[in-house]
Amino acid sequence: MAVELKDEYRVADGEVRLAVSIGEGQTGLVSVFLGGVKISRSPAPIDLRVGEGSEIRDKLLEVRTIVNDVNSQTNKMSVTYQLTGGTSAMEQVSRGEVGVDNQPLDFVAVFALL
Amino acid sequence: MKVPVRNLTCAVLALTSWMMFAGTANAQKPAAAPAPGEPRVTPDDLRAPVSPVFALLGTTPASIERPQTPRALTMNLISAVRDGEGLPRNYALEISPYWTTYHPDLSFDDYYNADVLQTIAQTFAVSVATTPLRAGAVAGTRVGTGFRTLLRAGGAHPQLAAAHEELIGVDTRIAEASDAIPALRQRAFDARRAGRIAEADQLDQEVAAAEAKALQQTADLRRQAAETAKRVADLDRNRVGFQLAVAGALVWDFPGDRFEERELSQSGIWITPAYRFLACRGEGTAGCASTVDVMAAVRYLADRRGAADDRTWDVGGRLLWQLSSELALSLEALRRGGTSISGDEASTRTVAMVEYRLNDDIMLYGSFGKGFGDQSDRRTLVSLIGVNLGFGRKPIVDVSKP
Repeated sequence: MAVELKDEYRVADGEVRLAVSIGEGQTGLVSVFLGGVKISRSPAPIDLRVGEGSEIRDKLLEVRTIVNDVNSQTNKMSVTYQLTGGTSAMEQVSRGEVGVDNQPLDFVAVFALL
Repeated sequence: MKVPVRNLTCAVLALTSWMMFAGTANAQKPAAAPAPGEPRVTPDDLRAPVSPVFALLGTTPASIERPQTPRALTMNLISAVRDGEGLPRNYALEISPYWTTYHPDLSFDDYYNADVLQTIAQTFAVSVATTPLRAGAVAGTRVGTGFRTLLRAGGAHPQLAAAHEELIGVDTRIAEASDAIPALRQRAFDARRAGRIAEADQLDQEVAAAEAKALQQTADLRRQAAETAKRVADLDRNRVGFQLAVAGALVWDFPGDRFEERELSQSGIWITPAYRFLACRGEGTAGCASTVDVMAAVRYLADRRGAADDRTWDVGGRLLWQLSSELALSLEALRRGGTSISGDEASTRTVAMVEYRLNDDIMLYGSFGKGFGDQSDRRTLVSLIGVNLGFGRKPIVDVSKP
């Protein structure tokens, strides 16, 4: 079962950027889709240009992160999303925890760019 | 416990060989029994104990509470006091305060490259335990508290980068199974904005079905990811380079469970600097399971129970050569001084040890050398063998006794 986050982000005329990081000393892979098209896939942390406000308005920005429990001290996991370049900056944190050591957990965040 | 017959046979044969060896050694001079309160000679003697309060109380609790959140800690303490109708008599708790809350800013790299303060925060653990006190006719409770932390945690294992890369490779294959889902979700979003609600609802159901199908299709890959993640976590526990561990504990006795009659009965502190490096030559680090640990140790233990007032200092070092994941050799020298030594004279223990792990459940070990000269009968030969059947670090079958 994935940890899900849904929100809206108001873009402006400038360039929108997305930064994604994994906390708790864990590691994982981040895939980013804009309007259903994959624009990035790489290990966390990432910081990428999403596009100009006028180009990306009315599209979905979907961030799918697979977090691996590699920290021998905790099974907690968190993913931080930062969006900048719109009408205001936004930061959201998703939190989860695996019940069994070393299991992967999916985090899915969907931002409607308005 | 389920033990394969073949391994059990090997264990019995090895044990028999050790018994013959020990019998020869013991024929020349009887083995010295451990002094009261002194642990048997095992390869873990010099390390700062993981739970110093349990070491000081000389107890291994059947169950240890490990609350993971502040709320769980509070509920646990309330429950223990309520169940014990006051001070609980057999209670053990361990907690790492830092890990009871979330740390979204702590990246994988930050975790491995922590400075001294951050290392202390990440590794600081507190333990609390109570045991019944039986001092003559007076019953009561013993309460202990201790801590353990690392000041330096060592560096990343040389095999970590390769294991991490392999893990990301497995994650990539898992992620590919979901690549069609965002386009489906975008279509649902477009339909809803255009007012085609029925179509949007239908597409939302397809998104949910696609998510479930992707999860099912990647079940094997997720198991593979978990195995690889375990290897990364194991490498985290086996860091190389310089480590410095510090631990301490205090124990109070409460005769008759009366607070006014409390007495600080035992205290201890352990300081253990160590350096570890891989010991494989000419074959790179991949698959290398051979390590060398050079360790120093300072330990102070005070025991003021009853009429006793023993204070013991141990200073020494240990060289441990892990030849493979199964076989380890070590040499340990420990200088002891303090008021518990006969005539207050310092004494030295020098012991060589061998440890062989037959499988995850069975470990054989033996030690040979000179013990401390504080035995009442002056027997200082250490000749001990044991087999650990996986229930703990101490042997349950001790064949050193006649």
